[in-house]
Amino acid sequence: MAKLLEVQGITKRFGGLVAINDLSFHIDEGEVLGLMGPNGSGKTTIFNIIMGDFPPDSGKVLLKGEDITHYPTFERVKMGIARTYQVPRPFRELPIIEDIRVSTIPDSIMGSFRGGTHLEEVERIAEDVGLKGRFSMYPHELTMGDLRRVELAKALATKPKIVLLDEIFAGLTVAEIEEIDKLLRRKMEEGLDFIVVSHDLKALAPLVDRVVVIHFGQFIAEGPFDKIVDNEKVKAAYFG
Amino acid sequence: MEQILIQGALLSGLYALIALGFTMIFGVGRVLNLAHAGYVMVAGYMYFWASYMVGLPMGVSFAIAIATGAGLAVGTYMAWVRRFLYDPTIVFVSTIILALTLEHIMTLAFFRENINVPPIVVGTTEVLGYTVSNNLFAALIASWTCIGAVLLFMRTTHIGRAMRALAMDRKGAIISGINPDRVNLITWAISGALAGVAGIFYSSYTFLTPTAWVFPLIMSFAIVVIGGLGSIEGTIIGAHIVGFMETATVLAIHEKLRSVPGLVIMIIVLIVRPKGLFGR
Amino acid sequence: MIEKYSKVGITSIKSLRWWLIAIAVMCVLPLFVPLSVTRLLVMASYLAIFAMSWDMMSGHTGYISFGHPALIGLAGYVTAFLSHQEGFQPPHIILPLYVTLPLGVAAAVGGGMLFFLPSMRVRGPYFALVSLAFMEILHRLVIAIRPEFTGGDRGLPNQPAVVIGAIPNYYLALGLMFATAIGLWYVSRSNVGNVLKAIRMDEDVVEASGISTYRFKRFAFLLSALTAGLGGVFYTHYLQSISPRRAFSTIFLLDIIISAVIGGMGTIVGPMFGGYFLTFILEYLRPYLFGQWRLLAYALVAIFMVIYRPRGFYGIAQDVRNWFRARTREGA
Repeated sequence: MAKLLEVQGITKRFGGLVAINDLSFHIDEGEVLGLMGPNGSGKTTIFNIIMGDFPPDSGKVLLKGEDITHYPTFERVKMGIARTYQVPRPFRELPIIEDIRVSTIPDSIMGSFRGGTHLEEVERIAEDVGLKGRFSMYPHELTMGDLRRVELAKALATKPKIVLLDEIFAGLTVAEIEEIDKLLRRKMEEGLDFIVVSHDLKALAPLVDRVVVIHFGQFIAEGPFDKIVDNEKVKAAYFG
Repeated sequence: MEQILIQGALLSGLYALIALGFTMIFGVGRVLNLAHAGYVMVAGYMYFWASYMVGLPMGVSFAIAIATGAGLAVGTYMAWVRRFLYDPTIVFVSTIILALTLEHIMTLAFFRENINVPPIVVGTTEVLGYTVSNNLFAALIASWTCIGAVLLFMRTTHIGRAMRALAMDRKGAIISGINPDRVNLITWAISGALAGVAGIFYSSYTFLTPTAWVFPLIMSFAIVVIGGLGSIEGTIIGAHIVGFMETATVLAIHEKLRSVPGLVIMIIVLIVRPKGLFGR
Repeated sequence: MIEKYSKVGITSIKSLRWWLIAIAVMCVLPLFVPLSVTRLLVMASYLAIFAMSWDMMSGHTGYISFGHPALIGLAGYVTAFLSHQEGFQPPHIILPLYVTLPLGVAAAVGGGMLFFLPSMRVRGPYFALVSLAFMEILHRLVIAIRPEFTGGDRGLPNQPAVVIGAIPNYYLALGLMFATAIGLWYVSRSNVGNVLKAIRMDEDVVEASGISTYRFKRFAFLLSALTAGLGGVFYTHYLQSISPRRAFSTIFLLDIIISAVIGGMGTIVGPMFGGYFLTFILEYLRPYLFGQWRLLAYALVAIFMVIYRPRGFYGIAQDVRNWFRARTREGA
């Protein structure tokens, strides 16, 4: 199996604090990876580095073998990585259908004038994640579950090969979790890969093939979900 | 050459005082208050009014000017800025219009002519063979006293450390229980007070006019970019770079080009090291 | 539901009729108003152009420019200098207007790109800071460097006019104004405009949508500088003079910003109305509010608008229209 996305020896310091410490892991094509770790273990930080929000102090990020460590964010997205945010970041003043449409606009001035994506296509994406009937609503009118769907729709609209999901289950009701879970599994069947970050082990379990556990920005353990949950080191990290 | 050094040092102290409040607000609150230089101007007018038009003793006039600066700052913050900390665009536009508003108010009260404010400390001193006005020395002493007081405050008091915490890591600071609104309020009050002190001395350094806020604002921009937005050490260093460049330009090159080298340095710094010398 | 989406295409053809009505009205206006009002309309038209050009960049992307007069002034100075120099030794360079006008515009675009592009790569307030610095630098250079060429403090008077007379100038200004308005309005409503407005809301997320925000910001700035330059060259030849105190002043800057703010940032149409509104209100309040009080009142209104109605009069007009729509739906 080819390695789709790989981080090698990533280290990142903020002032005196070492946020990520020589972290390496990868995800193969066709698998779903879970990223686990207690609060503050660096999960969002490594996502930020993968997406290019800031560069690592050392180490590499490789997408299908290509070194993208210093590529700008939009370039990486065009190559096929997308993400959702831990706290949803919708465009406050836009109805969500317009919000999703921004993700479909091509990275070119002339192309944008010529039209970009048809509205029907955007509506299809919105329906696909389950937002039918709420197209012209504004973010402040929506439930957390719907906001997460918008995040997902925006990510999917960029036609990614892999999506980084940062705590997509946080703040959802049990029913909403089930629906998002079904949606993700449908996407997986369509060939999309995910790295899923979540505290909610129960939600994570049915989705992931393999899990990587980190703590204090360091690699702790890796393996299939059931084995990991039983792992002594992992338990120590979570329960102290 | 020595004259450049001496006058440069004096001007730099004054600039540091002006820019300090400006950068503190950005460091703690992440917004730029473009009316800051306007407070300097108004405070200068208040000092003039209190001591020369009303005839109050110097100490009282000082207090009035400082209180004006602090009051304007706190007023601006409480009236609207605190609600728009997430939207720098609105803060930008509203505070520069506020600066213009202050200019209009001062014009209505004092008219457009340039007012020559008599020096606070009269007389001159000989330094290294050059005559330097005592007033400028007083400004230098006042500036460094205030700067020292602020640095001490930041390092020793609880609130001061809270300010530094918020500047370094906003989320972390809030989680630790620091109340950002209260700390912001105090930061604005302090910066306004600093503007007040600056106003007193700036008005006697140059003349007083309602449009006097524009030039210090522009030079404050240069100072904080060069020094690094939000950094106090950076501001002090930046103020000296800008102050010396301006003095050297006025004395050695061309009086009318006074601001150009400082601004050019600002642009170069922006291209080469956008965070400035000490910025994050 | 379709109506709420900002589509280009169907909706713009419908909206085009509003533009045609506006153009028609403005064209016949001089027949009904005294010459003094016509002259005022010319000034208002130019202010509208400047306000719209500022809005295209600053109102949409949120990158506030405090150096807009610098672009206008740069264009004006280039065309002024190349078309007429007062009393100095040979060699004279006197170029015809059809050469100097485009050169002036090119100067605004070229000079603007040179100074502003580096600061657009950096997130944060730096763009605003650099823009004000740019204006100050130009101001100083014009006064101090070779004042015999640049006219120094006095400026360059006695410039040739493009057309003579209030009425021809009115139509010239009007034509420029509508061309600018429709062009920028089209961009604002297009996908490009949506990206720009999204940049203001959350630039990181726009980047994460696979769009190079720098590319789009640069384009917005290009349009902004182009239209500022266009307005600048014609304005200079309408006033037939240019001086640093007027061209590079904070008063000019704030006239532009306040027009845009009161009209409604990010809407193009709002700043257009704002330019006319500012010009006429200042004139007609003259007998009622003396001098500085008018300016003060204006500034206070502007602050109020920025805080409570950032979408300005345009937003208020939209709210009123929506309220009417809701009522007719319920009532009838």
